Amino acid sequence: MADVPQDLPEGDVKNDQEIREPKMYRVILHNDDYSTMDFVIEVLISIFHKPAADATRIMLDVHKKGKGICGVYTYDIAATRVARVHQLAKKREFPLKCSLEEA
Amino acid sequence: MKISENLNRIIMAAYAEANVRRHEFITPEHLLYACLFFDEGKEIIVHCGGDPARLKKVIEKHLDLADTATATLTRAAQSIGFQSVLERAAWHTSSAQKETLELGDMLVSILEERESHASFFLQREGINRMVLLNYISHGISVIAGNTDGQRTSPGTREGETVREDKEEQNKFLRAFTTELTARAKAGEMDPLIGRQEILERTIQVLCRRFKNNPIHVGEPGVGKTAITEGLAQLIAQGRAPKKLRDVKIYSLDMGAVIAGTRFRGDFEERMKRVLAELQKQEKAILFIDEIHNIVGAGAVSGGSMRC
Repeated sequence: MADVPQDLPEGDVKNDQEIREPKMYRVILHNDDYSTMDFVIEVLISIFHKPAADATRIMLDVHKKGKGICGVYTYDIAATRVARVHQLAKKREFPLKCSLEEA
Repeated sequence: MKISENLNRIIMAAYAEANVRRHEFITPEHLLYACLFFDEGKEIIVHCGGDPARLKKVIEKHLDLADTATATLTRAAQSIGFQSVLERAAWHTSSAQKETLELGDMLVSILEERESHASFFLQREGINRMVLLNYISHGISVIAGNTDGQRTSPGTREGETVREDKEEQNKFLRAFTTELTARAKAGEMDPLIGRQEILERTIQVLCRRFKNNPIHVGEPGVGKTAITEGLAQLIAQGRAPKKLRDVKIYSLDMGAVIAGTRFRGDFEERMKRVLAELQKQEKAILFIDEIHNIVGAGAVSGGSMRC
């Protein structure tokens, strides 16, 4: 095994299945016509710990562009936050939808 | 179903960890981190070929930046990943009709969690499902038995991290091989007399670009091993050709590799790990003494490994 040339052609030998680092995920809020602006801001503050000004900006993003990015997290944290949003929305009877996508 | 006392303590420690760090959620990473502080957890990691100290460092880094700390004084809530890890472990335990949920079951469950950093860190330590299952169900360790407690010696903890990491990475090399060039440098070998042509031919083959794997064939006792030792001395004295100047020769300890391999595939697994570690080095020669033991030359069937 002495001195194997460093630049072997691609796809030569892959000896193990690849271990890749988990990706980060964006949590996204979607616009609808029934959730109130106040509720969206409340969600952003209480669940995503955004400062009030930032929360308002994201809320306006949701309102105007149809969706707003609430933050980038690991899959676990992102999924947990999404679940919390849905929980809170259901409790308060708003149809607010929240999803995650790869960052 | 009960949770084993050890595991219970670990879960408590994980909670404490999350709370002290003011993390909003308790995640599988907290759990894995906590289990590294307990003997049982450390043992499992070590016997599966991982390094608890390094793992601890990596997770600590992850915990420091990944989870957002909250200013509020609420207790950490379980994340979805944490719940699913526990649920899966519990489900497995009950479907196996076992009484208690053990730490091992939980580690398997952590490993299976998708898109999880805890699983990723474990896999990066070389711990996969099979290795873990083998150890927790049958006590089959991937490392040779003699390396039991000495691994986590705190002596080198303060050293430069890069160096330490490198040392830790070569665990299999150290367990299963001896470095002949180092021995030659230490003057532990007798000089090789004669055999000039064979030595030269060996060097010539080693310097080739491809097919650079010489093999010595001969009657017992004619000095096949001695030639390799002679080569190690040449390298140690700096009298080898340029291409072999800083090469290290590792001699495979066949006895150690085979010892304790109980099942089909254990042996190959170890060989692969040794080879993987060797491949990370720029210049290395693996010297396999008594190679006829492992090559089933020409035979199609049979359980031996083929080169």
